[in-house]
Amino acid sequence: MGSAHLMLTLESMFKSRILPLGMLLLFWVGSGSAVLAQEPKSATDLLQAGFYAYQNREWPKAEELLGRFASDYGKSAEAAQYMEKVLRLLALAQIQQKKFQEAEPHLDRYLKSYPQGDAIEEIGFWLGVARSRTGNPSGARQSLEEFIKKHPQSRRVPDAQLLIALTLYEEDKFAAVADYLQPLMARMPPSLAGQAGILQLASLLEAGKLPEALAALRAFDPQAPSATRLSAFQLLALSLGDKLADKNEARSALEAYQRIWSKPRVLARQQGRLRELEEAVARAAADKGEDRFEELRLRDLAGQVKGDMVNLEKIPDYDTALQFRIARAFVDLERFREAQLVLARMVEKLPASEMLAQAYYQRLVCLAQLERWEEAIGQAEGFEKKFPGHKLSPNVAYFRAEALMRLQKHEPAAAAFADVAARFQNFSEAERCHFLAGYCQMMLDKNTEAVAHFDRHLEQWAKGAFREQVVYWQAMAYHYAKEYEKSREAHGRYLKEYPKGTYAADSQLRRAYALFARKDYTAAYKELETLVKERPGTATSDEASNLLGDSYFAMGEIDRGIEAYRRTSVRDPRMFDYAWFRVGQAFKALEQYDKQEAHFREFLKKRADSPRLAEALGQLAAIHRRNGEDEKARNLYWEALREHGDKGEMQGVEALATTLVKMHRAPELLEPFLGRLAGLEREAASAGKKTLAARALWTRAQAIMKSQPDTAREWLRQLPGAEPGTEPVHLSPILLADAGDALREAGSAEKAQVCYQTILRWHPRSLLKDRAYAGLGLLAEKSGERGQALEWFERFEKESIQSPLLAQVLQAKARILVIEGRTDEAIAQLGRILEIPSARGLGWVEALYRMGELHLKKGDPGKAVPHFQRIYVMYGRWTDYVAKSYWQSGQAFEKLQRMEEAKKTYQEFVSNTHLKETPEYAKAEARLKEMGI
Amino acid sequence: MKMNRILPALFLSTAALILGVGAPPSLPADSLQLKSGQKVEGEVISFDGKNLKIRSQFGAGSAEVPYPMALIEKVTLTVPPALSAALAEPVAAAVPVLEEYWKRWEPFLAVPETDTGRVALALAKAHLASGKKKDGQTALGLTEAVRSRDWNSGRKEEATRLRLTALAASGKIEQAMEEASQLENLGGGDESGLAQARVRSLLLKADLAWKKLLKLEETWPKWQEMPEQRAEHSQLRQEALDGFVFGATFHPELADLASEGLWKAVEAHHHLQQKDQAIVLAREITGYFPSAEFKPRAEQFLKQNPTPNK
Repeated sequence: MGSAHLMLTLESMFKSRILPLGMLLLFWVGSGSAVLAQEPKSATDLLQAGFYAYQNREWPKAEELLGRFASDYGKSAEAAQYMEKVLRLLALAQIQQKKFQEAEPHLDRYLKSYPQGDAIEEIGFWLGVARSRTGNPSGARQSLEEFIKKHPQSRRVPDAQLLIALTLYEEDKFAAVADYLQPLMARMPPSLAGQAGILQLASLLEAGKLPEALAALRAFDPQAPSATRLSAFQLLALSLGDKLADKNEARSALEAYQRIWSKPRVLARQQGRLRELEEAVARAAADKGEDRFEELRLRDLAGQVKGDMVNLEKIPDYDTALQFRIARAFVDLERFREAQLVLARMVEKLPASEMLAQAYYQRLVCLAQLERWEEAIGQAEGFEKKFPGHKLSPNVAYFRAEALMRLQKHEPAAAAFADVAARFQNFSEAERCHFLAGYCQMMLDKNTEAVAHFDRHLEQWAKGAFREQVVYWQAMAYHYAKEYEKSREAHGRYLKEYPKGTYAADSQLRRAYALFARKDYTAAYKELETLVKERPGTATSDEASNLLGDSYFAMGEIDRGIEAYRRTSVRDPRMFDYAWFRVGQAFKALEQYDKQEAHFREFLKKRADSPRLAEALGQLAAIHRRNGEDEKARNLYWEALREHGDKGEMQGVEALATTLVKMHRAPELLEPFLGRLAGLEREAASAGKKTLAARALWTRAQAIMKSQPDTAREWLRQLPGAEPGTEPVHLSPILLADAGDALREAGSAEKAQVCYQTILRWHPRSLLKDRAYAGLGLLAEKSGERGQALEWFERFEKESIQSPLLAQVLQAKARILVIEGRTDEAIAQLGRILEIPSARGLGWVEALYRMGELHLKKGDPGKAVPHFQRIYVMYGRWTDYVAKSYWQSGQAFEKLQRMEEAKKTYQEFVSNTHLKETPEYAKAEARLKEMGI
Repeated sequence: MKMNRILPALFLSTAALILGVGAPPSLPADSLQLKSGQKVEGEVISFDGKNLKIRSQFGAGSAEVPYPMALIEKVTLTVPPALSAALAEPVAAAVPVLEEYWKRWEPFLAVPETDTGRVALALAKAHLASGKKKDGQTALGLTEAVRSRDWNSGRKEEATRLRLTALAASGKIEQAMEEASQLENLGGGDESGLAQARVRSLLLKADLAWKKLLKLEETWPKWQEMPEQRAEHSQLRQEALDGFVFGATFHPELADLASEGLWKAVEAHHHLQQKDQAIVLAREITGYFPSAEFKPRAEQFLKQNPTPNK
C-alpha cells in the first residue's frame, strides 16, 4: 500500500480557524465588491480585494492580491498591522489550492513573526502538513511534534499524531510507525481510528512483525462505522495471511484468511460506506460556511475508497483464491475434514474453470485422507465428467481406482487401474497402477489372468520401480493357481534377482512348497531345513517348520517330523495348533498312547482357549475308550465343561457338551447324568456363573430331546431367564437360537424376539444368524406384519443364502405373497425350493403341492397337473401328499374337461390300496362311481 | 381502583359482574392495556378466542369482567418468582410449576405480548432434560403448539429448532434429520442472522446424526463386525463431525457457536477413540474460541489427556 493514498486523506482533514478573519471580513465586506469591479492598484484596494476574494473562496485571486500586497507593501510600517492576517490568509488560500510548496514560506514566516498570533496553533499545524506534502517528512515531523508540544490540548493533536506516523511510514521506518501508534490507538477519535488501524497494520506487515500484525488485525473491527477503508483492510489481511503461510504459521495464516470477507460482501459494504461518504461530501459542499476542509477531507477519503475498490476488483478469482488459501491452511494443519468442507463448497459454487478442477482434485485428496472412499469415487467421477482430458485426469483416475480397491471392490478396481495404466502411459504412477491391476485380479482369484498381466508388465517396465513386486506376485499367482512347477521357477527367478529382497524368505518357502506339492519330499525337506535355520523365529520359519514336519511324515521320518513341528511357535495360534495335532496324531499312529495322552493334556493347559479344544478332548477321550476307561473319558469331558462352560465367547463348548450327551445315551447313564447336570446348573447359578448354568440346562435338554421333546423344549424356553426385558447376553448363539425357536413355537413371541435379536446384536458373525433372521421373519409373519417379515427374509437371503432353513423361509415368503395377492411371485419362490438339494424329499413335495394348488387357484389347472403328478410319481413315501395329489390331479383334469385322464388318475389312485386310509381315497372311489366306473 | 376507571361504559350494561363477598382475596397483578389507554389490573382467568375475562378486585369483593380482544392493546401476565425460577432453569424439577402455568396460560398463546410461548418452550426443555422418549413426545406437542400458534415469530423459530430435538428425543430421528435439512436450506434474513441460523441448523443436524450413531452403537454393540452397520456408522460419523466443525470453518466470527460445535467434535472424537483429533480441536477452543461455557471443559479435557506439543 502506498503512503500517498493515506497522506491524501490526512493532509486534508483539518479545519481552518478563521473566526478572527471572518470578523475582519465582515468589516470590509461592504466595499470589497466595488473595489473588485476595477483593477486594484493601491494597498488598500489590494487588501480589500484580497480579503473579498478570500471570503468568496476565489483562492487564486485571493492568493494573487494578498501576495501582491505582501510583496509590494509588506515591509511598510503602515502594512504591519495587517501583515499577520495577510500572511495567514495568503497561506491558507494556497493550501486550499494544494500549493503546499508556495504556502510553506508564508506559514514559516508567520510562525516566526507572530509567535503570539491568533492563528499560531492553526498555522503551526499547517506547516507540518505542508512539509509532509513537499517531500520533507522529517521537517514535517519536527513541525508537528513542535505543534503537539505547544498545543497539547488542540483538537488537531490526533491528526498531527497520525500525520507523524505517516511521515515515519514515508521514510520506511515501519517499526517506528507501529511503536508510535501503539499507545495512541486506544485514544484515537472514531473518525481517525479506522485509518490509524490500517496504517498500523500496514506498518507491522512491512516491518515483518507478523504476530503484532495479527493482533492488530484482531483489534480491527470491520463492522465499526469508522472502518471506511474496508477493501484496504481485506487486502492487508490477505497479505498478512500469505506472509504467515510462507513462514509455515498455518494456524495464524488461517486466522487472517478467515477474517477476510468475500469480494461481493466487501464491495457491497464498501459501496454502502462510499455512498455515505459521498452524501457527506455533498452536504459539506452545500455548506457555504468558511470551513472548507471537511469537504476536502471527505472528498479525498471517498477518492481513496474508490481506488481501493478498483484495486480489489482488479484481482481475478479473489474469492476462489481466498478459499484455496483457507483450504491449504487446513491441509497444512492436517485438518482434512475442514479443508474438504471448504473445497466442497467451492466445487458447489464455482463455474467450470481451472480453479474448479483444482478444487475437485484437492477435495479428492482430502477425502482420501479421511478414508471417505465412496465420496472420493463420486468426486473422481464428477471430475472426469467435467474435465475430460485435464492434466490431472491421471491422478484423479488413480485415486478412483485406489478408492475402489480400499472398498474391496476388486473387479472394478482392477479395471480402473488397468485403464489408468493404458490411458496415461506417461503418468508417474502408471507402473504402480498396472501392477495394482494385476494384484486386484489375484484378489479376485483370477490367478492365470494375473500371471499374463504381470508378463505384460515386465515387458513394458523391464526395469521399473515395481519390478520386484511384480516378479514376486507373479510367482505367487502361479502358486495360488496351483501351478507349482511354474511357481517354483518363478520364485527361483525372484530369488536370483533379489536374493535379499523383501519377499526372499517367502519365496524360498513357496519353492519348497512346490517340491512338496509334487511329492518330492526329499528335495523339499532339504530346502526347508535350510530356510528354518536361516530364518529362525520368523513367521515364515513357523510355516516352514510345519511344512517340514509334513514332509518328514510323508517320508515316514516320524521323529524328525515331530522335531520339526515342535519348532513351530505360538506366534500364529492356528499354525501352532496344527503342529500340535500333527504330533499327537503321530503318537497315535505309533501307538504311543501315553505320549499321545500327555501331549493332548499339555495342549489343554497351553491352549485352553483354542477353538480346537473339543477336538483335543476327543483325542483324549478316544484314548480312554480304547483303554476301556469310558468313565475316564466321560469325566474328561465333564471336567472340560465345568472348566470352560462359563466362558461365553469360547468356541466348541457346545460341541463337547453334545459329545458328553452322546457318551451318556445308555439308559443307566442318562438319569445320573441328568442329575449331575442339574447339580452343576444349581451350583453354577449360585456361584453367579450364568453361562455355565445355562449351558448345563441346555445340555440337559439335548440329552432328552428325542425321548422327552416337550420337556426338552420347556427347558430350552427357560434358558434366557425369567427376567422380562433383560437381554440374555450370557448365552452363546446356539443356546439363543435354540431358546428362540422353542419360545417361538410355544407362542412366546416377545421372548423369542429378544433371543434372536441378541444373536444379531452380539454375535453378528455367527453362522447362526440364519436362525435369527428366519425366526424373526416367522414371528413377524405370525403377528401379521407381512412387510416386516419379508424384510427379515430378505436379510436372511442376503446374509445366509446357504442356510438349511432356506426352504422354510421360501415357504413362509410364499405364504405371505399369496395373502398379498402376489400369486406368481409366490409360485416363483416355491419354485426356488426345488433348486435346493438339501430340501429334497418332504421340502420339495410340499413346494410342489403348494405350487399345484396355487395354479389351481389362479384357474390354470393345466399348469397344476404336472406338479401333482410329479408328487405321486416320484415321492410315494409321503402318502398323505400322494393321495391329495391324485385327488387334485383328477379334479384338475375334470376342470379341463379331460374326463378320460381324470378317470385314469382316480383309477390309478384307488389301485394303490396302501392309500386306503387317506380321506381322499374314499372321495376318489365315490367319484369313479359317479362317472359310471 | 375505581370501578368507573376500569370499566368502559360500553360494558356497564352487559358485563357479567360477579361480585364476591367477604375479605378481598389477593389477586395476581396481571394487566390489560386497552386501546383507549385505560389499564385494567387483576387476574386474567380465561380467553375464548374473542373475549378475555379478568377478575378484578372491587372493595370487599371481586368481579369477573369480559373484554373483547378487539379493545385490548396488550396483555401482561405476571410471572411470579416460582415461575421465573423455572423459566431460568428449565430442568426436570421445574416441570410441575411450568405445567401449572402452561395449563392456565395456554389459551393466551396467540395473544400479543404474552409470555405463554416462553412457558411452553421452557416446559418442553424441562421435559427433554429427562431424556425419556415419552417426555420427548410431550415436548414435541409443546413445540408444535408454539410453532403454530405463538404470536411471537422469534419464539416460533426457536420452537421450530427445539421441535427437532424433541423429534429426536421421541425416537423420530429420521424425521428430525429431514426437517433439519429443510431448515438448513431456508433463505432470507440479514447476513449475520442467516449465518447463525445456518450454523445452528447444521449443528442440530449434526447432533441428530450423532444421536443416531449412538443409538446404532447401542442397538448393534458389535457394529464393527457388521458391514451395513459399519457403513451407516461411518456415514453418520462424517455427517456429525462435518456439522460440528462447520461453524468454526465458515463462521469463526460466531465464536460461541463455533466453540459449541468444536466441543461436540471433541467429545465425538473422544468417543471414537480418536484422541489426537480431539486434542487438536480442544486446543482450538482454548486458543481461538474460548467461550465461557466450553473453554473450561476443553481445558479440563486437555489436562486429562496430556500429549507432547506438536
